[in-house]
Amino acid sequence: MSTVVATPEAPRSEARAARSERIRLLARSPLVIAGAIVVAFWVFCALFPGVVCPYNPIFDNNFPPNEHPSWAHPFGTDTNGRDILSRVLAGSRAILQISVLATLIGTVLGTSLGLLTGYLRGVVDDVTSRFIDAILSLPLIITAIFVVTAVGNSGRWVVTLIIGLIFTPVIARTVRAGVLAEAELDYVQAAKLRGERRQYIMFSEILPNVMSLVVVEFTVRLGYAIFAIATLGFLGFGVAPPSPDWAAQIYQYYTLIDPYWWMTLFPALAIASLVVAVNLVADGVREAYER
Amino acid sequence: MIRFVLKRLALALITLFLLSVVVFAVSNILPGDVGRSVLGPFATQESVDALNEQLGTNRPIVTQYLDWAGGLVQGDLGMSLQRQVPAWDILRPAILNSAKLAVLAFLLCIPLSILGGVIAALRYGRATDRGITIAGISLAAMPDYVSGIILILIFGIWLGWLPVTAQWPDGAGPLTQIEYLLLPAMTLSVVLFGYIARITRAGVIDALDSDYTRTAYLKGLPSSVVIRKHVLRNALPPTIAVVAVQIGYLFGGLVAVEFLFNYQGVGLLILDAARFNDLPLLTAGILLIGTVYLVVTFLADLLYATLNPRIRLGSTE
Repeated sequence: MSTVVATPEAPRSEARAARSERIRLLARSPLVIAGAIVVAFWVFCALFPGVVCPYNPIFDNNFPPNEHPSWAHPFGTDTNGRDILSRVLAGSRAILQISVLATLIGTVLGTSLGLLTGYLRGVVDDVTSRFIDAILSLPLIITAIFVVTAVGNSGRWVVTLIIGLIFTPVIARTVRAGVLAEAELDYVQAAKLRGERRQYIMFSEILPNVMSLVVVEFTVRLGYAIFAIATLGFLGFGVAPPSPDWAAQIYQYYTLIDPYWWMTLFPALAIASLVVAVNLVADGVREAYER
Repeated sequence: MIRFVLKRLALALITLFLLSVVVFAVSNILPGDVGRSVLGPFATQESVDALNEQLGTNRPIVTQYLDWAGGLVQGDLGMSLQRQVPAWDILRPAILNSAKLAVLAFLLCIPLSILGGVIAALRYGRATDRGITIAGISLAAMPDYVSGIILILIFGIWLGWLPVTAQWPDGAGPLTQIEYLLLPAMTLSVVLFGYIARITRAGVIDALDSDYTRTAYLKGLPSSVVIRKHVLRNALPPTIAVVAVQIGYLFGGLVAVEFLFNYQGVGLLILDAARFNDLPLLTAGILLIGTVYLVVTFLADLLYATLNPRIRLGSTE
């Protein structure tokens, strides 16, 4: 190593300062805090359904069916005589599992594809970018319905994988734009002159510098994933009964909305609260990283 | 300008071609055996072979694509498996229905959301702005059917003002049709409000911050004139472009709302085609949605360029 190269401590402490600055910004925004509290509540319910649910969401089915909300059952009971509050609280597990995993798959694949196309450029990049434009001319839900039907399987893990794959092009496009800007900078040229391998330059030099983009993309896409999975579930491509799932409950009961409104309203409010909370956090994260 | 138009048109055509390749690949390669995936695991091998023969899905994949794409160019979208009629005959009335719903939704939401965005920008950083912005983010983030359920409960069931399905009785006049379409259109407006208000707000804030606005104020023009002639005239073109792109998305994104209100539009048609494994109809519908999106985006680009000479002249160089 030559002595001209700056000591590695300097940039690292700078990065740490930037990170703590961002966290301070996030913690100051009341909207982000409100969103984070709601998300944390649903994550807690997903992790410990036994602690939060007053009854077993699947097996306690001997209550009088179709009961209005009351002190004993604040959200009422469903047509099978189950406690809706318990089913709503336990229902966060399925949607959180699927959406977090799908977003992770999409982020990992999309970031890799973005790094490859943005750094290698050339024909591969041109062709991939055009294909990405073509795929993005279809709305998310339409693509998802199409692929699920063509594959012929709407099981939980198939849907997860498909949503992850559908997110890949969008994330790749964002990361690619960031990589294009980075690839012009001196540290990349320096690494090339040192004779580093391509994979090293892409994943060890450029990736850390586009990481903030990746973090923003992840939080934003998580909101879209919850949206997409909740919509697919409502259209009948989702978690199979009797497992508690918000969208599946709405799918099952929305035709009974008059007079049994509580069977549909409470799962709908649960979806709304989670999606809005995730988006408030994502919005804060984007602002903190983009200033 | 002509070069700009031709360039955009060529780009749109290339994208459309690639879309047809992707759509074809998904519907013909992913299922493996198309006949088997349509008929299910319990059909006999003879009937599967017969269906593959009838659909031509036992030929080499490139031949199949060329045949299919050749038909598309001549306006042949293929036959619906389930109903045994040309896909276009089923799609046409559905497109008309979806278009009615989309137009009504835009008529409801554009004035309100542009007004909301302008008010938020004029009150930048104050409580009104925060309120409009938060409401916009929340409404745009929610799945459309969730807002739809809440609107159905309030206006359809508790107040009893509006019908809860969108399918009007046969032979209903335009006013009755609008009455039936109001709840689904309101649902879509609620989603769009967030997007449009947000873009308007950003455009107006930029314009308010600019030198020409400061000059206009400094030379003593009343603020209503400044806002109308200087701020809005500069801030609205980007908004129009976003609105136009949203039309393209809205057109295909109606699945959940049309399902919730049982409305026979393109979205519900695609959902039914998926349920019945009617791959030719599904493929035709999806390609149509992509085409509408590309056409609308192309027109939005042109409109934006016409409204903003900087883009038009800059990109012809």
